[in-house]
Amino acid sequence: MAELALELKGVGKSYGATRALDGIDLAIEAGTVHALVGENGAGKSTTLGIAGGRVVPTDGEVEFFGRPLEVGQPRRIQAAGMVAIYQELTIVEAMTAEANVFLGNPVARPGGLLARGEMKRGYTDLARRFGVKAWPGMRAGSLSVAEQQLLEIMRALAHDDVRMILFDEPTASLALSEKEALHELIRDLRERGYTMALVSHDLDEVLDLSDAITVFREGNVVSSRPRSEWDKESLVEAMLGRSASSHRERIGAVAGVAEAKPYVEVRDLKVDGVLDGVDIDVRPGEIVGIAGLVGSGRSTILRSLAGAEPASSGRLAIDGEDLRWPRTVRAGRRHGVGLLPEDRKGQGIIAARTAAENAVLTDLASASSFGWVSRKKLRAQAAEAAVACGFDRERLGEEVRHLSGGNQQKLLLSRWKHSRPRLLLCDEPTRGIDIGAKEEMMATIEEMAADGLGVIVVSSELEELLAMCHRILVLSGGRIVDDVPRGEATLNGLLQKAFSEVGSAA
Amino acid sequence: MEAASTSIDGNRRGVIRAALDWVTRYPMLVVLVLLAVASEIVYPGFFSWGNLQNLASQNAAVGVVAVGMTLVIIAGGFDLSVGAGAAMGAVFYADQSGNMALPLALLLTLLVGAGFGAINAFFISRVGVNSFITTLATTSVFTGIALIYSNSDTVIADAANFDFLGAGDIAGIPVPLIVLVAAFVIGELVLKLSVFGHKLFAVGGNPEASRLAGLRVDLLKASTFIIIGVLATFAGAMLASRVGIGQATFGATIPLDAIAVVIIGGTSLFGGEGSVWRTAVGLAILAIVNNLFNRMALDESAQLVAKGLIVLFAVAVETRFRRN
Repeated sequence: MAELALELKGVGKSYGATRALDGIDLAIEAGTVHALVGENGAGKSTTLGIAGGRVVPTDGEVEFFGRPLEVGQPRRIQAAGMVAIYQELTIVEAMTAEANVFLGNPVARPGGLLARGEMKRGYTDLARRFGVKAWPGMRAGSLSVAEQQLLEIMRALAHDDVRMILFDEPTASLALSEKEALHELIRDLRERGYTMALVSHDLDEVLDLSDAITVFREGNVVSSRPRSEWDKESLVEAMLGRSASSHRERIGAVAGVAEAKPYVEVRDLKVDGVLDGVDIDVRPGEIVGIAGLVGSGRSTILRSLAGAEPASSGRLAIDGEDLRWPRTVRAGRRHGVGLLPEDRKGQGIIAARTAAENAVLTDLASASSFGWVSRKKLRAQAAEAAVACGFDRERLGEEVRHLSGGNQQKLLLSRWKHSRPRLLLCDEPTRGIDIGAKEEMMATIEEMAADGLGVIVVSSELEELLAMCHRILVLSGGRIVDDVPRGEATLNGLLQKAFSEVGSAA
Repeated sequence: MEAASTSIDGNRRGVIRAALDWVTRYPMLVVLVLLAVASEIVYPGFFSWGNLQNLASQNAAVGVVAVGMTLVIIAGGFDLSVGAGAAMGAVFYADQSGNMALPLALLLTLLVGAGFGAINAFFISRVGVNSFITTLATTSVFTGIALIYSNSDTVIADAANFDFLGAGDIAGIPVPLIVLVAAFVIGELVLKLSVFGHKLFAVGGNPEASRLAGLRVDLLKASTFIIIGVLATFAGAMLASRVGIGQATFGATIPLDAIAVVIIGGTSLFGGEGSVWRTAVGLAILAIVNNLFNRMALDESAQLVAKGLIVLFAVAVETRFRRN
């Protein structure tokens, strides 16, 4: 048997009465890419956190290349040759790219002065190896997320003795082309003998990259096998503990839309430097998808329609009625436009408040009389909306920060289930949530559409758009460059369209 | 620690854990109870009606401002200018009390406070200046106005019943005590039960999410500054009423005391979390400590040191226990 890089023996983690990880065994062979998958809360991120040192296990032993790992000591673990790239990047935006790479470990001359020349050389070296184009003196805050992530990987590799890298959802916020680049990098690192552990929700990515896959469910390891013994179906089944309703069935669930006249008409939507005259029609009950690269202005379309982008202009009509272009979110809401924002944590939830309160935040008045909130009404209103979105009624009293991403997302959607918009805008509705929650989100959105409102969905996951939309618009260079009806749309077609236009525009 | 706890049987462990959980959640309530018991032991009669009346009267002004400060901080702001507001309230109320009926004078005083609050609110909500910086600057502005208004002199109020607000009583209950209790009860009810209160939590907890949910973030935040502006001049009027004069130097310790009280109670300085009852606990702790020091004849400089250490301790406790 090959040498083991990381070995967990009976490792468990309890938070109060909750058992997040229930005494698992896990072995990762040196020089391989090992994926950890499972639904949110299954224990994979906890495992990664333990290996990286930021979560202290309650019991069990961890060995790193045959030696006990000093759990809970991130610096010692790093010194031993293991680094973690977490989802929340630790880039200092106000510092230069170079300074970020040598952050916490600057090269210094005797006397404490920085060895600038040496660091610059070190940076250029690393940059060449990993194809990073960022100028060493650039402010890190001006770089894209993908570039910042590269900086972080470079920082990890600046230590010569690194042997293993932990990736937590590394591609969750990357555009397609950037994803590909990172995949290349990971393969390249494997070639150079690094061991890697990878937590990802993207099963295609997992199947594509890894040598072995371990599936977690409810704090336990369900199964740990070489890549060759897995396929997508078996993975999903292992994760859920049951077979998922297949894509095919779900596609059939999207009802056809009558050839009615458009319910929502958007004309000449412009935002300086981003959108250059976008027209969109949505028929009643129709789900229209918008595909495009990150930065193509997808989110800006939704934000503009919701009134969150004051610098936008255009014409909007709903149900045959010409409306004033919304310049505030309140105006948008009066028109009956609801936005499910892209960034759940930053733009969606109020973390310290209860689930119930979050569910009715857009319409607190409905849960109150004469300005006083009625607990009973709040509870009832929230329960009605949230349960319809697949949220567990029993958890309505919990603070939202303790809920999983999937549950948080269901709550955000239930805001609009509750206040019934005419146009529902969903920006990345299933980003970073587990498969079960994903299906429920999609089903709820389809149900809401079937009530006769208009829905526009933006997603980086083209497969998701293909599965749930009646029509997919391709956005590129600030314009709609293609309008593909369901049935004719294919993954490759959409991809090519989205990319080719960028190429020709540049 | 793990080894020790695993040897205890499950049931008892559950009780201990629940108790520990409660203590870590409300550490300051434990501190208050300990303090109260200790002071009653050291000075029997500490909890006599007379001493309680005294405590309430001494701390009413800070308490009223602290209620407002709780709202401001929960909505994500901060107000240093309340001392200057109180000073203005004191000289204005003392001065106007000679010109018109007292209720009218008080109403005018509160309007001035609302005006001060509106100035803060404008710069913070409309222009977008950080509230710390804004109120640091307006402290100077408002103090200056109070000094100009009073010609830097003591304003003597000799209207009949001028002392009602700060030293009067209704059916034997001191007015400051009534005011104090009313302020805390109303504050707590508004925060916990009203739509307005719920919105303040949302705005302080996540302004961007609140905006995208259609809340009028600017207006909500602005309203907290106007409320505290009114409460600050009210506190000033109480101070003036208590001693029968108004001075632009009144209320100098109010900002730090009010903020200290909110923090000691455990309301998060980052906004979005907290409550008025917590502030009440904070106020009670500070009041008892001050009272104890006075009885021990500790001089004021020593009191300052002790007060600062208590605030530091409270913040340390919050950081270690509650942020997790």
